[in-house]
Amino acid sequence: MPQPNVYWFYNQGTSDVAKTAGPAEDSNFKLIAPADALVFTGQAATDGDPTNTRDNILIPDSGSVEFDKTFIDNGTTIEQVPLAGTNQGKQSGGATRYPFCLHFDGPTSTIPYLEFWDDSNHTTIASKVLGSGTPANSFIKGIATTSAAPVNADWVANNEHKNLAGDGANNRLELSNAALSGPTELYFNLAGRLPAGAGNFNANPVLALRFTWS
Amino acid sequence: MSLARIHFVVHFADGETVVGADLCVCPTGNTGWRGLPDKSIAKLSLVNPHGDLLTLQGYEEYNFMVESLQALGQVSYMSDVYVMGARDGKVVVYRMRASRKSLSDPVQVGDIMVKVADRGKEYLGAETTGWKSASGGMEERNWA
Repeated sequence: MPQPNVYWFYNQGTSDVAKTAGPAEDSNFKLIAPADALVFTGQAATDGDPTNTRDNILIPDSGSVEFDKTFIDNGTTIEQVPLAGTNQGKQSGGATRYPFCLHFDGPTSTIPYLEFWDDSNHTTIASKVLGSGTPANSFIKGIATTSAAPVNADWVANNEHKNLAGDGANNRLELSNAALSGPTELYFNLAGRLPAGAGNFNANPVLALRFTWS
Repeated sequence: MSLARIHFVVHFADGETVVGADLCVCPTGNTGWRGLPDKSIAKLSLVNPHGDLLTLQGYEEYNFMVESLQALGQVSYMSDVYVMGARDGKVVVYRMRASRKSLSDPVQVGDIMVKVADRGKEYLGAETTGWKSASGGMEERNWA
């Protein structure tokens, strides 16, 4: 079999429903195109603002704070992903199952995984946002929702999540329970949480999909 | 010096040899592994970019697969190629780097890493599909 083609989608609306099967967009899910970027930012950024629109977020004195909103920056505008994150953000996140979707158009040899890395070399996790080399301290939280929605609207506080950094078993998202036997939709949710003492940083980590085929 | 190539070669017990598609020519194409004839495998070789062969022989089952990485907003690329042999509840996993990730990455194209894992935990702690038996046939067993 050839390598399966993979299509990345985000849910542009607030309807927490599965995507129509297949590689095409539907009324909720829009394609994440090459060169698009995932953005966690503050609440003044709004859906449809010009590309590169970002807003500040205050570092908390204690605990952590979730980035208010999540967008896909398509190079022209920023498009909100309202269902992303937990109920600690300032959009419609929570126990949401369908904010992001991956469509595979063929089988795989193993479970597909999502990972965060410093860059597209996929070899290091030194940046502050990924925990400065300590994956458990990653600011990026994720949960695979292919099989079920999160139990708790604050799925980070409820410890249902993975701290995403690198390819360690506890720090990547396992998107299915087994290798894919054919065309499949996989789902996940992401949140960014800024801890107290984070300080200023500038990082553009890479969200990568690892999969196998033969 | 010949062009770099990466592919498998299967030698069946009846003497037939099947050469898989060259992944250096088409990194996303059909390797031919899943379409192999349903008969006993005598040995499985992986041809590396230098034209040399890593050969597995004497196992109960064999497997071959390609690992790809795709970052959000980017095209996928072939990262590594795996050949595996299973015997007595263990899997010997040979992983060959198929693309250089950065100038600072000490692992070069063609470098091979080897590990031994329990069956069902051979790839990142989980099972792989696509196994083919030395006695013929594709094994889709759940090792767990």
